[in-house]
Amino acid sequence: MPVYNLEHLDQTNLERAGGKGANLGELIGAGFPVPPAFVVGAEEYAEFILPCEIPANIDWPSHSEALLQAVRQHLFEAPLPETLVLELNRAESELPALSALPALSEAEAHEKVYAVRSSATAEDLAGASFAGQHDTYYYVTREKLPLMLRKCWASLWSDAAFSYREAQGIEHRSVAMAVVIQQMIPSEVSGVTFTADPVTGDDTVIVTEASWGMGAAIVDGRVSPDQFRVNKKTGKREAARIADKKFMVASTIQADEAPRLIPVPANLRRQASLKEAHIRDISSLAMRCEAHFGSAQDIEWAMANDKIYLLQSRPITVKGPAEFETPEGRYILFKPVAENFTDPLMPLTEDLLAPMIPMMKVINGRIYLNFDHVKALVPLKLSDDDLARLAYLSTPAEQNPGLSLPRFLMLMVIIYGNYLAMGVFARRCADMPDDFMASFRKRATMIAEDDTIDPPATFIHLFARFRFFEPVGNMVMLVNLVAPRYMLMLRLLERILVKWAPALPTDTASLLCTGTEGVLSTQMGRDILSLARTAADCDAVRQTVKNESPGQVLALLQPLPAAQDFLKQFHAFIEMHGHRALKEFELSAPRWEEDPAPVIGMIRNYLLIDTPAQPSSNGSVAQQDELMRSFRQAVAALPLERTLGVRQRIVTFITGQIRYYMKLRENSRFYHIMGFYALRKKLLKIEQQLLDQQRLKCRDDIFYLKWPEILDLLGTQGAWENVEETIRQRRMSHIRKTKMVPPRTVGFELADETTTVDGSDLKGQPASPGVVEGIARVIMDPATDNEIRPGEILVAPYTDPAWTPLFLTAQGAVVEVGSYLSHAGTIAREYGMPCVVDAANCTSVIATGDHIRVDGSKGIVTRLDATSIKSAIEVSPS
Amino acid sequence: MIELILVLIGIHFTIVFLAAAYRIIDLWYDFERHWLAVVTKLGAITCLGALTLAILPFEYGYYLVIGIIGYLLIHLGVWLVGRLILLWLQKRTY
Repeated sequence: MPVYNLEHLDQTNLERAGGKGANLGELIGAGFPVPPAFVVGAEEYAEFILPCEIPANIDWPSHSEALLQAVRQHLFEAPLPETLVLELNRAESELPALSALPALSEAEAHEKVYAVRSSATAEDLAGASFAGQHDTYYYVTREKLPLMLRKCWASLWSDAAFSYREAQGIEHRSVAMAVVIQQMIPSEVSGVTFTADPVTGDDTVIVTEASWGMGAAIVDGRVSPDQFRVNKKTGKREAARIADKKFMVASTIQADEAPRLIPVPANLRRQASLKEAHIRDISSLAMRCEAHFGSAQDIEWAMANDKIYLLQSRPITVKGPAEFETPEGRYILFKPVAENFTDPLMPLTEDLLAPMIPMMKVINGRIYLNFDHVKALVPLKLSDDDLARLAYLSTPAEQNPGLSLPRFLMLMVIIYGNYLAMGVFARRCADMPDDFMASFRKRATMIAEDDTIDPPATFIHLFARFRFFEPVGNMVMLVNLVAPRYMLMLRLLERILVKWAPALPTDTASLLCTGTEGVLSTQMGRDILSLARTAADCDAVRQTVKNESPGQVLALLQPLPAAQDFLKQFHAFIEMHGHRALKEFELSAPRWEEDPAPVIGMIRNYLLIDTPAQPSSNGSVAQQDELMRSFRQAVAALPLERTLGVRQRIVTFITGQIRYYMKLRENSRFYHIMGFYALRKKLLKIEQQLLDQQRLKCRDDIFYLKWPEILDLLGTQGAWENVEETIRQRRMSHIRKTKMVPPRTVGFELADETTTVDGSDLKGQPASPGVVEGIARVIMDPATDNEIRPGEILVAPYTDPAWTPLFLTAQGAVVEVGSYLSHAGTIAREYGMPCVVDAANCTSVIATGDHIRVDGSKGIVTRLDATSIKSAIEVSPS
Repeated sequence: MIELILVLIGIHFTIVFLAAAYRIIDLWYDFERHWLAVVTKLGAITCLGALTLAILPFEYGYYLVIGIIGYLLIHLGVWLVGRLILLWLQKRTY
């Protein structure tokens, strides 16, 4: 019999029904809510393809093309056996209609529609399904069932699947394909649930990812789903991350071959896709699956009318460390760079950026420093462990290391050589007015519009110009390289203060250097606050911003006369800051000029709180005056001080220099981002071209390709095939890499560093001095979760300039990734609020609502309630 | 030893002078506001250099001039090397 009802099958029927079919049969038999389905047996495929006489050995690639063409032609054109067609019709008519489901459309109210799913028979073809077979065709009507059946069979003979079998040494004649035909669920919400964390293997949690519409978008990685974590033991939800869900596979499209993405309605984008009851039901179902199969499961499900349907259940494969590439050599995560790239780079960003960063290497999407090069340059006698910590910008254990004379001499030569090469440039950067880099904006715009400059050359044109009469303001990358000298000056200032005025607080140097005017990032925060005040002053604007979806606000305000002042101010803001974004060094990140909704969201955040926020820099000015007064008193008795004020002049000079170069660093970064946006604009133009030519299907897919692949796609000859499967594979790989915590070192191990002090404290690095106590607010993504109240302490995985407005409201900050130089540290110092950075796992260990103390001078975060926090090591991924 | 120091002083002086001269280009976008400071600084450095050369005995001034000319050549060399690096980067990318 060619067709089997899945009710009569179970896991022992792998050869007949394939892995998917056998599994679904098992689930149905165990009483799980699976949509009715039947399967066309694998033996039908084997019979059907016999006439092709596939040889045992195929000469690949020279003669395979003819064979593939012949097989495909047969699969699509040869008549299907009459018994098969009759059985298909019989099985389809016998499938019960799903009750109480919303109708797809009037025409389809009484018509069943199906998902047609490939189900491979051999276990070693699990990889083949990953390598190019189109798994599922949605919304297939009865009439199209035979065609979709042929397509599933033909997917075994796609170029990608064929090449994969060749590469893996899999005998082509050994593969067979069953096809599952399952009644469609017009799902309102779909998702995937894991009964153990698929990245870390932690089996104490159930992880559910969900989004609107059908599940194909999640499985393919085209949407960022909501994520919910439930404790298995207690059944309580531990964490929820609501994503900005931009796309969905519609549940009301006409039956067709492939899933199609449509935009999610604005009001649903940031709304949680699951209610608590749904999460409980799904978790309960998942636990039943795990108990039934006896191992952790990866479950696909769909929900319609509050009813959950199981679509698939299979064992989890923990990808984890096996996915990490390990190149030759030793590498260390370089924090001043890494903190700007908190997610792994997209393939295209990596491809364009990698050649521009000497001494560094991109490993699994993260930027690492070559450790052996560092070791050759640093003249201190440090163990590899201590040197690695120094390179990572944490404190090495050996506080007074010995000096290696040969390396010291070599370093002096290098430093003097650098002085000869860059001395003029460094002096050109000194004492410049705040707006000296403003000309770079015009340059970036010009290069963005110049179609004769391709994307790889764009970085060079923008960041590596060496023309004799080029103004220094156009060389923003070199300006950025000059700026970090303030770190050395800061160390010098600290030592001077200890020597001349030891009674002053230890964080005096940091406090004296805060509150610089003209820092563009802090100005951006103030501009947003100003916009919020303008919005608050106009009733129509205030109500619209507070109550409407951020994506619709501007369109709603446009026709209102009362809103024109706000709109004018808003457009001026976008003109100045529109090149910024969340994760702005990533080329795929949409900029505020393209999508101003995040800015509206930040303004909305201010309007939702009662007490208007303001930066606390006024307090820091008074504090600085007080400190200088104390310093003058402390040194008054020292030689030459009363008459010439020598020491005061020195401290004032050094403080001024530190502030200037800190500002230079932040401001040069402002212009770097402008350059990245110029490059993004070029890539978007190319993407549009490829979309118009239908060589790409979806927006943002271009960022999963490398530049030579894009050139091939653009070319009229030798067009590169199988682009969709490559994009899919890279997308899934990227998602896995995003979920993994990157190791600090590659190629060698760093001794474990405990990040707790005494069980109730979390240790990080001091970034902005001061001590504050308050309620923690854990925010993972400011675009979707930006409601922080005055007095709360921001706890975040990282920050970049898009987070700046949150600093205006918070009274302290704790950040997982960062350094003293980082955005979090810089902005916290400017706003005069305590900040601890590099507090590993702080977003896991601290929960919203915890009462904590942040000591930004010592780099310690303390939970003030009775329960001591878990060791950060215990919650770290293995 | 004193000769080496004079050469190094000559190098440093040239760096300071060139940076001051470049200010004309660097501040050209708003030269009306900054011209006085730029011209004053450049003039002061030039006068200081000229005065130093005038005061120093010839055998010492000679080393100062070596430092000045030497650094000018280094500076030109840096630009040339910079261009070569640019070409190398362009080849290293696509």
